[in-house]
Amino acid sequence: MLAYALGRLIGTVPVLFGVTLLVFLMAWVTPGDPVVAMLGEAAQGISREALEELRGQLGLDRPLPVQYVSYVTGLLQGDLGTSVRSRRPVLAEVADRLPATLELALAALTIAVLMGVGLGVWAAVRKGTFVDGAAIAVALVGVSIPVFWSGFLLMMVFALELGWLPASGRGTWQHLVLPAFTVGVSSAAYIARITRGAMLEALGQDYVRTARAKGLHARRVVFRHALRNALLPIVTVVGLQLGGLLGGAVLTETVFAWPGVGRLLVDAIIARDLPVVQGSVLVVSLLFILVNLAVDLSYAAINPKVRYG
Amino acid sequence: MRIPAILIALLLVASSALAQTLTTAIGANPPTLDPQSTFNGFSFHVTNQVYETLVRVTPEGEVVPGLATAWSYPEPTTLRLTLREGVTFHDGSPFDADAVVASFERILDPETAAPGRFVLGAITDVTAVDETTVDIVTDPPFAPLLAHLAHPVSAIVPADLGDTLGRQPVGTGPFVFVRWIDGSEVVLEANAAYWGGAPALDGVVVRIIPEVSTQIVELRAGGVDMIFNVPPDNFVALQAAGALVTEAIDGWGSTHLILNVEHPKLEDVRVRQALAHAIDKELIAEEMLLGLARPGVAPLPPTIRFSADLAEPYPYDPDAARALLAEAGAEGLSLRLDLYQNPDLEAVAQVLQFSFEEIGVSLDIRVQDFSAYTQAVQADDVELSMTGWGTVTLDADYTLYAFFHSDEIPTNNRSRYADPEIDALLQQGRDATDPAEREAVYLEVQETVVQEVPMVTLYYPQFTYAKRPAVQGESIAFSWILLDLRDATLTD
Repeated sequence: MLAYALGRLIGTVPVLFGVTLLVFLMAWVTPGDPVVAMLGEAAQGISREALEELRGQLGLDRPLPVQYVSYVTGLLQGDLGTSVRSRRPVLAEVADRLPATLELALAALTIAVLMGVGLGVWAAVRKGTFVDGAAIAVALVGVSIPVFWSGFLLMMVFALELGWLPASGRGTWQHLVLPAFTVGVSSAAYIARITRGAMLEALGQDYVRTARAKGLHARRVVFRHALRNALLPIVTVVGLQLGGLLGGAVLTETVFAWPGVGRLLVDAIIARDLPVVQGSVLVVSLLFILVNLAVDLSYAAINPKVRYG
Repeated sequence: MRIPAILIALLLVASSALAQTLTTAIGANPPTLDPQSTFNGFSFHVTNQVYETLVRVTPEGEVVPGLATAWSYPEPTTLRLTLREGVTFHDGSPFDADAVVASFERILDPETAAPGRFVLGAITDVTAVDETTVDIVTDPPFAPLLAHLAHPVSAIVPADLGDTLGRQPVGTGPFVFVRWIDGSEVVLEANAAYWGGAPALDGVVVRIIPEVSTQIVELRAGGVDMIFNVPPDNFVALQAAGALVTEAIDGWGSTHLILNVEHPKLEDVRVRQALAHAIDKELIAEEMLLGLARPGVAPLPPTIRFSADLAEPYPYDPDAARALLAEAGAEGLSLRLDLYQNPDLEAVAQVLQFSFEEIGVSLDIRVQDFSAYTQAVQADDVELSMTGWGTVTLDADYTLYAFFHSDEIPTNNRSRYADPEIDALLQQGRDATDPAEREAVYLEVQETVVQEVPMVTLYYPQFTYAKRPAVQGESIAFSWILLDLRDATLTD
């Protein structure tokens, strides 16, 4: 299993290079000038000569493929490059934002798993009843509501009307509650749907009937026998959700002024700050790959029939 | 029983100290806090609290002392400035002629790659005459220089600190940098040793809140005290709700429809006049922008020095427009309008499309991101384009030279308007140090171009802000970037 994990980790290197190539190609085909994007509307009075000069001084006059080769050369030496806009190392830019992203992702995931699995199991056990219908409806609404809307709704109620929580920003645990709920509820909806389906299948299996026939307590049957066997698809969807959250919940970060990687990436894309775009995508991709690896490895722990190596 | 009383007293002291910290919100993380390595408004909004320029421009457009107390022109090429004495940077290092020279040398040095260097591009030499006197040489003469020295990029920085200024700004200004949590907030505290007297506020927190609706919730909930650039519909809603104070102020901005006079479809002046006649500027300013803009005529907003107060030569008149088109044999014209992503511009483009339809001209609107748009409008096949503009140096030269001098084709002169007489006048405006002569020159330029219609100035947007009533004494001229909090107080 260790050999398998190591192999997978080594396999991420070409994937990450593929990611940088993809980002670079997208930058290459996008029209527009990074220097103009950086200067913005207010600097329109700049003369052509001054613009060309600045382009040379920033090293942006070199052809993009040359810039890419020099970027990759730096990357091989562990250098993620320097932001064109802030002139800071990209690593510092991303590192500043990563804690906020991790904090929000983990808090949201905790809420999502507790709500999603709970709701899914409950709905499956009460299949065909009012509870089941209500749970499906809640999950459907949760998936469908844009976080932009639900986020503002929560903000209006809990920050403005009741005054219980701060509306936006990051600092205390109170700041975390609203954004974590906004993202968590929407993820919970996906998890609940998958959980319900997997549980329904597991509850129909012979071993569950056997367990019930033996006279085991209903709760024990549901959680020990059925849920354990339904875990594989649930863990998969949880992993996918976590991967998505680590990529930065851009909309939620924007609504709640949460200083995460997602906003850094969007700002960098708008300003055509290619090194920062590359760096954030790279870090996010790495996290995504690691989460996927962890999910794969957990299969063996959940189901002894799965073997690696 | 005495301890709780002391605690309560302490709490009261603590809460009153807290109340004297003003919190503002801006829409994006400043890329850097070194004014010499950026041209970003979010950066300038913060750097203007920390650093200072040699001169300032008042809301009335008058140049007044900043870090320089007096100035004169011993020769047309030389501006001599007397520096304020007894000023120190926040790190204790002295502000003197050497510091000023070093600061200008840093921004003019190609190594610095200063995006705002073009603002000071006319400077050929800066020398220290004595400890408190500096000569700034522009050869040839450059009359707008004084106004350019008031621009945020011209702020005096302790140059020996170099690139560390980006994250640890050090200036002479009323507020001292404390910390910057990336993407979250910048915290400043009052400079007790400020040469103009310590500000009444204990500090300023600039929070970074990208979404306008969130800014408004925070303002209403008391999480922030001031927000800027409130979109018209939100502004009107806040105004109606009372409780908060809303302000709309004439700024340095203007919005233009630019016509490529070289393009076969638009080279006939009658076609351009027809398009001008088709536009109802009142409708755009009053209905679309809810009164938060003034209809435009001259290419410069009235707040800018040497802007001309002109009568509209081509008022809204669809019949006259149709007649001109028929006369020019240009019926059934179809045109493309380029613009960039911006809610106001996109809404106005829709109005133009409808207005041109009325006179039988079909309009195809192309919206792109700003840098792609800039590339498109510099290509020869551009027809119509729209842009928001800021006369950021507060001098007529900045805008008129960029828009109408033939040297600026196609970078800024996107109408490709070329007239040797106008070129000569614009040069004269740079050479002449006599304000009366400059005024006459710029009046002639504006009168001519308004007749020739290489562009239609649609409106001058006002800039807006909203604040809690407790905030008093702030001063903002021309742009939210130039917020002056030296005399601001917080009364609750």
